[in-house]
Amino acid sequence: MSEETFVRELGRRAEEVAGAPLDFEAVRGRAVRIRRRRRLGAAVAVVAVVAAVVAPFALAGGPDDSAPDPAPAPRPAPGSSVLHDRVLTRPDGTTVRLDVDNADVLELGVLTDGRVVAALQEPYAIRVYSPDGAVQATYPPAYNTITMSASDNAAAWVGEDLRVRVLTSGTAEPAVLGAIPMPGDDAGSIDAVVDPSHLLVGDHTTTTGVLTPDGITDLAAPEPFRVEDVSPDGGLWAVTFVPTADHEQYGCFGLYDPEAGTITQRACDAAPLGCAPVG
Amino acid sequence: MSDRDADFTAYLQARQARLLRTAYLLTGDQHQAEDLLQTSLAKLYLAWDRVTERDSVDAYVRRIMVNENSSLWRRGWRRREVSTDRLPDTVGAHDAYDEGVGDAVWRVVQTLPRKARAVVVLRYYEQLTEAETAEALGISVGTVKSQCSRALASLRERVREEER
Repeated sequence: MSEETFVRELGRRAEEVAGAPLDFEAVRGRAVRIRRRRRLGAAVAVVAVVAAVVAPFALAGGPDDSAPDPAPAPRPAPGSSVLHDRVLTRPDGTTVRLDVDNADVLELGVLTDGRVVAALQEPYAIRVYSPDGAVQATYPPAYNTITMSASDNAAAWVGEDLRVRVLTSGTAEPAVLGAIPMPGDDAGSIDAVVDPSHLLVGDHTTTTGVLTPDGITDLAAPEPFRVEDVSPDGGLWAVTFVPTADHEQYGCFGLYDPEAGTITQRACDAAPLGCAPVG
Repeated sequence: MSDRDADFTAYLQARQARLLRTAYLLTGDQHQAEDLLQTSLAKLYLAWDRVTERDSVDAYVRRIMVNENSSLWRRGWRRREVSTDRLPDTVGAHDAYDEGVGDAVWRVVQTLPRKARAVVVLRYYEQLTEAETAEALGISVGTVKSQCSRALASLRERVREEER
C-alpha cells in the first residue's frame, strides 16, 4: 500500500468518467453571467468598503505596487539545523544523534532550549527530543506538521483532538489551547506563531483568527489573506492574498502591519515570489 | 469567430475531458463535476487574454477549480458537507481482481476534508510535485506532505479493517 496505489486507483476511477462535451457557446454564456454578477458585486462592495478603508489608507499612504519606504535592515538569519544520516548539525556546528530515519521526518524545528521537535511520517506523530538526542515525548497530531515561532522559542501543532498544542522553550509539556473553528472534523491550520500565546490560525486558505490561551478572536483585516511568516517582533506579517478575479492565476503577495491594520506592500506581477517580513 | 475565441475553443476541445476527470475527483459527483468545470472554464474564458503563458493554462484552470470548489462549499447554498470517518452503507463496488483496494482508495478520498482531497488529487492524479501542489493550493509544502501522509495512513487502516 503506497503512493503508487493512489496514483493507480485514482487514475482508474477517473478513466470511468465521461460527460457530455461542453461547447463554446455554453461556456461563453456562463461567462457572461459571471461577468454581470461581478459588476453588480463590485458596485455593492465599493459602497461598503470605502468607509472602512479610506481613513487608514489615507494615513498610511495606501497600498502600492512600489515600495514607499526603504525596507529595514534584515536581522541576521539564525541559520538552520540539518539532519543527515540520523545526525543533526546545529548552526553552531555542534551535532547530536537522533534515532530517526531521515525519510520519516517531514518537518524539524530546534527550540532555543536545544530540544528538537520533529513531525514524523512513521510513526505518524510529533516527537520531541531532548538536547542530547533522547526521545522525550511523542504526541499524536491531527496533521503531522509543526509551525515554529520566528524566534524559535515555540513549536505548535494541532493535536489529535483538534486542540492546538504549543511547546515553549523551558517548559516540559506543551500548553493546550482551544481548537481552530472548522466545519466537521477538519483540523484548521496554524499559519504562524507570533509568540507562544498568540497564534495566527485559519482554514488552510485564509488566516481567520488569533488563538490565545483565552480563546480565539477574529482577525480584523482589510481583506482576506493567509499569513506565511511573521517578523521576530510580530510587527510585520508576510501574507498571500486570496486570489481575486483580477489576479486569479497567481494571486498577490504582500506585507501587513497588524498594529496599523494596513497593507504596506503588495505585488501581483510575479510568481512564485513572496515577501519576507524581515526585509 | 475571432482568433481569441477560436484559440479558446481549441483548448476547450483538447482539454475538457481530462479536466472533467479532475473535477470529478475533486467533487466526487458527476453533476457537480460538470458544473464545476463549466464555471471554471467560463472564468478561464474571461481571463483568457491575461493567460499569456499558454503552457500554464492547465495549472491556471486547476487553481480555479480548486478555489471554486472550496468557495462553492463555503457559500453554503449547496448542501453543506461534513467530513466523517463513516460512510453510509452503500453497495460496494468490490473489485475481485484487486481485492477491493480501488474501492478502499475511493472511500478514503471521499472521507477527506475538501482541501485535503484537493491535495491528494493534485499530487496523485495530476502528479504535481509537492511544491507545485502547495503553490496551486496556496498552502505550505509541509501541509501537502502531512495531508498525503495522513491519506495514506487512512488507506492502510481502512484496508486493514476490511481484511478483518
